[in-house]
Amino acid sequence: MRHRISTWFALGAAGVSLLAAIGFSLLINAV
Amino acid sequence: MQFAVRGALWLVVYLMVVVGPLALMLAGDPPAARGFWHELSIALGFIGLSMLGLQFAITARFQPLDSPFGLDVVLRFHKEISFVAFAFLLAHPIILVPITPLGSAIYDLSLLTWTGVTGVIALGLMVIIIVTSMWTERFKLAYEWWRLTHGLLGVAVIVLSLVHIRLSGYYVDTAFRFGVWVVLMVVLVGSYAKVRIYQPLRLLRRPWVVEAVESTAEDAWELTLRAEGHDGVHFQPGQFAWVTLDTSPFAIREHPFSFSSSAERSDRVSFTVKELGDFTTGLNRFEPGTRAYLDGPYGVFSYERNEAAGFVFIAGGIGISPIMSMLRTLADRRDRRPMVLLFGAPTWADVALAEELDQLSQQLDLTVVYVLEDPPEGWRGETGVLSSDVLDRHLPDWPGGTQYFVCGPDAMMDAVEGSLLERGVTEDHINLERFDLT
Repeated sequence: MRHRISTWFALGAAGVSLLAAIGFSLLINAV
Repeated sequence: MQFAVRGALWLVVYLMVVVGPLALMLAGDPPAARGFWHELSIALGFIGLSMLGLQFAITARFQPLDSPFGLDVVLRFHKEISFVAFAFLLAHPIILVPITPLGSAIYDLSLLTWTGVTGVIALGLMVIIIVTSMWTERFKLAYEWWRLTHGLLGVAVIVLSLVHIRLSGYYVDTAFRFGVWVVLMVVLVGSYAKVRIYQPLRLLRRPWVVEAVESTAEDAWELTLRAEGHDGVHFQPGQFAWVTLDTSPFAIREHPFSFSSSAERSDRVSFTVKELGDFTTGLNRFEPGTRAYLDGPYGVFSYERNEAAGFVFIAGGIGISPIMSMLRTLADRRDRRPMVLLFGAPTWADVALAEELDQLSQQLDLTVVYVLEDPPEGWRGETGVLSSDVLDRHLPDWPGGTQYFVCGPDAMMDAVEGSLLERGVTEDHINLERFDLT
């Protein structure tokens, strides 16, 4: 299980970062 | 649970550093937006750059970061997240091609700007970093050279990226905004100085010498080091250290070896090492008295972190090293819990430390089962590999929790893990140690 944590973290970080990028673009285009 | 909480906290910290600078770019008086796709592309570029900087910090062997996961998992994350960072950085120009003059520059080089050139070179260097890391053996790159070029190319990518964002000058149009990026990158890249400067300076004050190098099996050695003028290293049995032999602790020539000696003795430690490459071949060339340095301990593969009513150890070849450390420690501590060791090897000549294992099975409540692929004539033990059938015949059915420790070649560990899961052993009872750190 321990060895798969890195993959879950990498996928989680990718997902959250992508959402943050989308949020950044939406926000700056809204103001 | 405590480790899980600390692990989750580190993920939150990681994400804050990744997306934090984006929020700062929004602060104050942000420039006018240029459409959803354009700004998404910019955000992906910034996030990719933060991730690149963080690659240095997460490989700097910080104990508080490594202890919840194990250094092997942290290095695996470093490898996996590099693909995410590269995907983000590659998406950055690809999104811009159809919506900006960038696309025209592909056909008309006179339109190319320094912003574009620095970005393209940085991406090209990233491709080199990834390709040389994935196929180090194919490129016949010596480990030391790979590590040196890996780091230097990484720094080059960061410097080029900083020039790139400064030249593009849209969000990074003020000294403050550019300063944020420069400081962030200097702190993150600089944190790696812990491995290359701070740690070696500490190690200089804690030297070791080679006490003995003994052959323990075909192509395997037991390297014993003695602390010189200090109390040595306090480790958990099953952990490993980076060892430097006959050179300065500043040298890149260091190797991760698992302790094989008892954790009850800190000033005299041993490592069982298999001949795998230039450095480990003919390890007895290091005479007693040779200067050595030891950076560690690292790793989480230890029975001390996984208390249980009994233990099953499954070793493939040189994977016996960390398990030997646990068995020797358990014997020194007069542990009475039941234990089974399944030890797989190609031939009897590859079985390290068999005599001592026999002694340990007298001192401990330990059953040792050897599994040989190519057994000698008259062999009555198990033959073949550590298959499901072999496990079925020898795995105990003790009441209460049992912890399983598996160490050996990747293919063997994958197969054994699968067999254990099939038998209903839960993942939190299976501990694996992968030697492929690099």
